[in-house]
Amino acid sequence: MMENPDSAAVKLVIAGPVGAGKTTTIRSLSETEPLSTEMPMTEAAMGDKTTTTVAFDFSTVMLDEEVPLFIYGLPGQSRFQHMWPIILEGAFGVVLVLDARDEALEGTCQEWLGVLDEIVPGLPVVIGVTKTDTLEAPSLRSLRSALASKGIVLPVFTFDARNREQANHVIRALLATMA
Amino acid sequence: MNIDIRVAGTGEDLQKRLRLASGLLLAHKIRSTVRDWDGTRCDCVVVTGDDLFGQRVRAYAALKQIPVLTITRANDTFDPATNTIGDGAPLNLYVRAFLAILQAGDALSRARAPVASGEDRIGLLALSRALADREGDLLAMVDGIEVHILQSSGHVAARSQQDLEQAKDQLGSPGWQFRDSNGKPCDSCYFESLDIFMIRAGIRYGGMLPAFPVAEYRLGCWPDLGTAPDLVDPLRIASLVAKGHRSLDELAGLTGIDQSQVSGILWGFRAASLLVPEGRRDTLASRPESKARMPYANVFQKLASRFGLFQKSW
Repeated sequence: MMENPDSAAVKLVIAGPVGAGKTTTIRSLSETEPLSTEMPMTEAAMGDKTTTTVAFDFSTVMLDEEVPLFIYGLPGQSRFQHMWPIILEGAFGVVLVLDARDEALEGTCQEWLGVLDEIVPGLPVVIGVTKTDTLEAPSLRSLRSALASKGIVLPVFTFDARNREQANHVIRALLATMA
Repeated sequence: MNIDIRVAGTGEDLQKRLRLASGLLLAHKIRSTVRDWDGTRCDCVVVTGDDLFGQRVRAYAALKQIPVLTITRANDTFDPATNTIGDGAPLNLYVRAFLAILQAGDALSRARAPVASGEDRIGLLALSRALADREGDLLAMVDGIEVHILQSSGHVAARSQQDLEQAKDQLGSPGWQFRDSNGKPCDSCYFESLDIFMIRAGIRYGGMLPAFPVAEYRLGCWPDLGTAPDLVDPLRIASLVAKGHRSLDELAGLTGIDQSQVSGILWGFRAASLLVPEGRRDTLASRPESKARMPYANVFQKLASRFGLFQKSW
């Protein structure tokens, strides 16, 4: 890592499919209410989810008096893919938020990792799996196996996106990969 | 091995006598515990033959082929033919009764089976070794407690949270036994994350464990610590092992964590099957060279400080 320069803004991106819990994660990480572009869903609602992010979520966390951390959420819908490279530009890392109830969890994960690597090769990523409390005995086994079969060793955390401490711990894991 | 004695429907005074007799079994090199009957399998159940509850438990135990010692008010002797003993019998008769009943079953031979010596006297190590090279699930037993180590789902499960807590307390002690586990562990089991269970045990008993041979392993999976935000040091250790650091000295030096704690964390990783032998040939994908904008060192420090990466775990 380089020393000093001017205190440039630092950017973190929260990515993942629609309904995985990106907005909730950003809200938990933020000190203030994030700027959100949530709108009522026009398509069939997903369980309790009645709104979706139509552009992107944005929030800041002050690292000290001068340096802000900008947190951006990638809109999950594929029709916003053209925005992804713009939002990912300059990010130091990504939290990929996935929904434990996704029956194609492994495929979704690999698809997102592929897209992220295509846009910013080698971007540090940590995977956060949400909504495990809705399953009787949630397991990371198959996701871990799928990643291991590709030789990918990344932190994969189950966490409650509503819980600030747990959301912070996911960021710690991301930082640990970079330390 | 521990002999699991349960009591059903006996009064407090009698339970005290049974506990004293249980303690005297140590003179015969038999460790035993006396607990309330909960309808599950044990080595011997003590019932009062003069009340309805005791009779029902005796009938149920007979059905399940669980040895029974029946207490009566009739006399102060022990009748080995019926496994009946008087409630006023002296303690040495209770001991004799237990020995006779246990001898009849196979519990005594199991109880006297040599306990693994040396390092395997520490439950976590014995468990770690039992799990090595095993893909399937494992039933771990100690002091009458059963814990299912579910590698298939990444959980530990027990009948109650109390059982799980007691098992944690025993992970630094000898007497663990293992066998293959199959099927669903139990109805309405209490579950915990396997990674967190093992890593906490490693931290707790790190000082009792031998130095972990870290050079022989590499990180196969990061621990899932998402629901344990107090566990920060294991993250830092995982990060360094993932980057190829292979000595306890180095890991302790780089993190400022006591070497025995580093070693304990690694034993926890191993017991949770997060480490793979160094020699094993797996496909390791080389991620493309990072084109991400890495934060400057001073900014990284601020990030680490803001999110508590360097805070102490305990």
